[in-house]
Amino acid sequence: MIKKYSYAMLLSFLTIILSGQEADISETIGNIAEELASDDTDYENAAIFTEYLNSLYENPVRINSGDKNEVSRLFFLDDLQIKALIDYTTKTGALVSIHELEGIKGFNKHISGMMKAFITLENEFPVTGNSHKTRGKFIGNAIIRPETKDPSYAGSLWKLLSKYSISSGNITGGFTLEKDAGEKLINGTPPLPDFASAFIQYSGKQIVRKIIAGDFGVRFGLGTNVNTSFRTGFLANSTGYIPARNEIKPYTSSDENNFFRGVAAEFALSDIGLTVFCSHHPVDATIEWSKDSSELFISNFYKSGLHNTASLLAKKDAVSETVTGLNISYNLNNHRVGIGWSHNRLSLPFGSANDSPEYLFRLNDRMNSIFSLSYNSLLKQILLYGEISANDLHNAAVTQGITIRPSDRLNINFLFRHYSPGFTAFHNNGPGRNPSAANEKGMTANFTFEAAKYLFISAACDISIFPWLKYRSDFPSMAKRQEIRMKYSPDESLNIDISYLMNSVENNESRATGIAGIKKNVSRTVKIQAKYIPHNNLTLTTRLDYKYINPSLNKGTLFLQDVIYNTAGGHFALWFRYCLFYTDDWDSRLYTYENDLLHSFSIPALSGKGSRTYLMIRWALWKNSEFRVKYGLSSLSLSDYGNNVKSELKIQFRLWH
Amino acid sequence: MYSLHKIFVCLSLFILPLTASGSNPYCMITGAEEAGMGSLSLYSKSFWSSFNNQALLAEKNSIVAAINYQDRFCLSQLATKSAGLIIPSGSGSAGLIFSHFGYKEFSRTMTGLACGLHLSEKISAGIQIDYFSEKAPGEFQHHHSVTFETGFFIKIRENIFASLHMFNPLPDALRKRNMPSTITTGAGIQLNKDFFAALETEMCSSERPVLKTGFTYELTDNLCLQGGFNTRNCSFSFGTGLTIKNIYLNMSISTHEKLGLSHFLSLVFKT
Repeated sequence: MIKKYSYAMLLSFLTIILSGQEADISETIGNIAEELASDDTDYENAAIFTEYLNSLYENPVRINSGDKNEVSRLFFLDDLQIKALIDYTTKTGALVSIHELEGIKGFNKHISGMMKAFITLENEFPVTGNSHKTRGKFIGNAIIRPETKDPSYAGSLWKLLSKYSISSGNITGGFTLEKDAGEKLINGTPPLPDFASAFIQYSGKQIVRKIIAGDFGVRFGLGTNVNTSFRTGFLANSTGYIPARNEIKPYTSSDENNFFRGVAAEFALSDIGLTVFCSHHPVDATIEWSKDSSELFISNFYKSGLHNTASLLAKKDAVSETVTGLNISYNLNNHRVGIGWSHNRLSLPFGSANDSPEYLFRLNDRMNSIFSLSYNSLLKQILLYGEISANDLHNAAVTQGITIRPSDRLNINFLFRHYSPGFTAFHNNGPGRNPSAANEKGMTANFTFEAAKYLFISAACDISIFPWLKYRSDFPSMAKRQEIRMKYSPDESLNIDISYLMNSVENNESRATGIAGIKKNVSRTVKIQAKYIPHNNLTLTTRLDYKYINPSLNKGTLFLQDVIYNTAGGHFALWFRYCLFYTDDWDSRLYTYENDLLHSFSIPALSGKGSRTYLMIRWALWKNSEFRVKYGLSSLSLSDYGNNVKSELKIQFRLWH
Repeated sequence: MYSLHKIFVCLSLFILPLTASGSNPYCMITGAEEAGMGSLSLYSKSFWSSFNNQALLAEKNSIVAAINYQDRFCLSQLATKSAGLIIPSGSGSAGLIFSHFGYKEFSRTMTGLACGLHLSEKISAGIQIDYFSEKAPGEFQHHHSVTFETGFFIKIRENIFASLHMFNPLPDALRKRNMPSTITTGAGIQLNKDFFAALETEMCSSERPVLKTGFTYELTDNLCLQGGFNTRNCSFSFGTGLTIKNIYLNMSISTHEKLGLSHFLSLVFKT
């Protein structure tokens, strides 16, 4: 009992409040995360991406360090840009202003604008390094949405999150505790919040580069083998593809199913790098009996992390998974090659023998091994990269990409992928449209062009073919995505963005009887956004979205106004949004990224006729602490003149020392 | 570079794919000058624009009073009568407005108290507290409600302006009775001393956005012409203004694709 109250007090104390996102971070996150969230299958990726950028914001990259590993943390830069930046700081010395970036080969105002929120010009190691100064950071979030109350919930409606990390010299450690709305505060054996995660990391500069014990994330190459981070190359409209990199990283996210638990290590000897990891932990899954009731099998993995009802609690930690992996890379000047291997062993078989066509290519085994070979090659202004992965059953995932920079003002990318329908990997996230790099072949191309001094134009096209059945498509299908974006930014105070996005997908058409037909849905979205900073303390953003759906001819419109006010010393900030929307149906829904608590995520899908408002304030209590509170209201007009109202209150406290 | 800027301001508003739709009945005031320009609300020299975007009050530097009459489709039952006063004070101005719409059985009156201030050289902001009183037959009886509206007026360049305005930016959840909200934003350009043109888009809750565009041209020192188009009901509008000493008289008409013409008449007295 005492233990229970101790945990309760710890969690509630830790969940006091905090943060510090600025307009720069929200704009960068917003543009990309909204795009991901607009595709339902990509919502998880948007969450990971937001989390990643938040971490980067909290622990900015020291671009003057001259350290490739450090600069590479700016994942949206390609190898050409990283090399140019390191060469520049090595030859001419440290950058003294962010504006200097625009003069470096391969950089422009658009890219430097993206980097601004995530870099520091200081050259001191903020977290790791030789300094023995102890630094710690704490975040506590408390979120409630009163209208979501459900009598079947096992616990309170509050969603609570606490994170703490501490570093001293080469050692970093931290923990994350979380309970979702409706979950019990503490549960299970040992009694802990629904999600508890911890890690300890050693960082070195010699042969041993990194050792992590506890929870961690891993990425090999382009991610078709192992990748718990977000997808490489998914940014159809980015300045370049996110390049292939090997990485182990302490796990600090609250996603309950996207990590490894055990030990990971990274070694480097001259030009050879070695990454190894071993993990064993329970995972959520739906368990079913086989048709002949002879054995249990995993019907699917349950990834939402919600365990607030009895049926969902039954899925929690239903099976155990052991994963081991190894990656060896070799760097030779501007070329890098890597070989990876990973092996999964589940306590129950995944899937069962089933004659249904949708299960034809499904793995029916407890074990799955994947081998991969990846490379990066920098040839003057051309970057070639690719990866091939194959499993025990000789099903393969192949990717090949090229980035060309014929001039500083033009960047062109092509990416080809071919994922066999039978390729199965439980922890991958390769480039492409589907989260699991399987059953897809496609081609993506994009370019970014500085058309005039302050005018940036980018365009992208992606064609994906799904040779076998997939979610909501009981037939081989095809998808297309085209996008054009213009950004005009004549000075620091004015920024106009106009984008056009066409998205075409083929899904099942519901029919009362017989086999489902094919329905092709094409959505076209125009977004216009103007951001103006008339005064150092004030930012005004106006945005209009228009979406048109074929063949239903339904439309969606959204109009929003943001007002952001910061006091001169940055002690107090206020965000206000008023948004009106009108959509004919769910298909014509629109997404808008919202400023939110740090390590929280909000991209509501706006559908129907209504309004969305929020007010958020940030207050620096003392020198090393911040308090943030957000109150949001969504109001939906009903046909009988009433309103369906949903509210939310979010509180955050951040403390650092 | 400068022309590119103009193109972008215009382009960003021109390509808005909008459809004709309704408007917010609580935004009652449309002066004859604004009506002649397609119901734009960012012409800083106009008296009535100051009550459609209160930030424009800050641009006023003398005491001004005005009256306005507008009918809809030649029906006196749908007429709106308004009176307003602006008093400059320090770096801003205060304004008072009264408006009455309807007839004996159904009427809506609005009283507003507004102020606008210069926040910096480039930006001014304003706010207005509105009190509405509605009278209707039958079960609806009388209703009283209070809300507010707020706006910003920004001088992006010497002759390029942008405006933002929000009417009743409160969710209906916070009040017992629904009251529509409106967001308006636009940009205008003073192409030369005599010619001003602007584009504006407006979205009212539960309605699709509308686009408004218009111009005013000073033919002589005393005479000016206005023209405009509003995608709401594909409405064209025209107006003319005459200055006689301290009095400015403006008359305008606007069309409706099905219901015919509406008329507007304003008299502005300057000190």
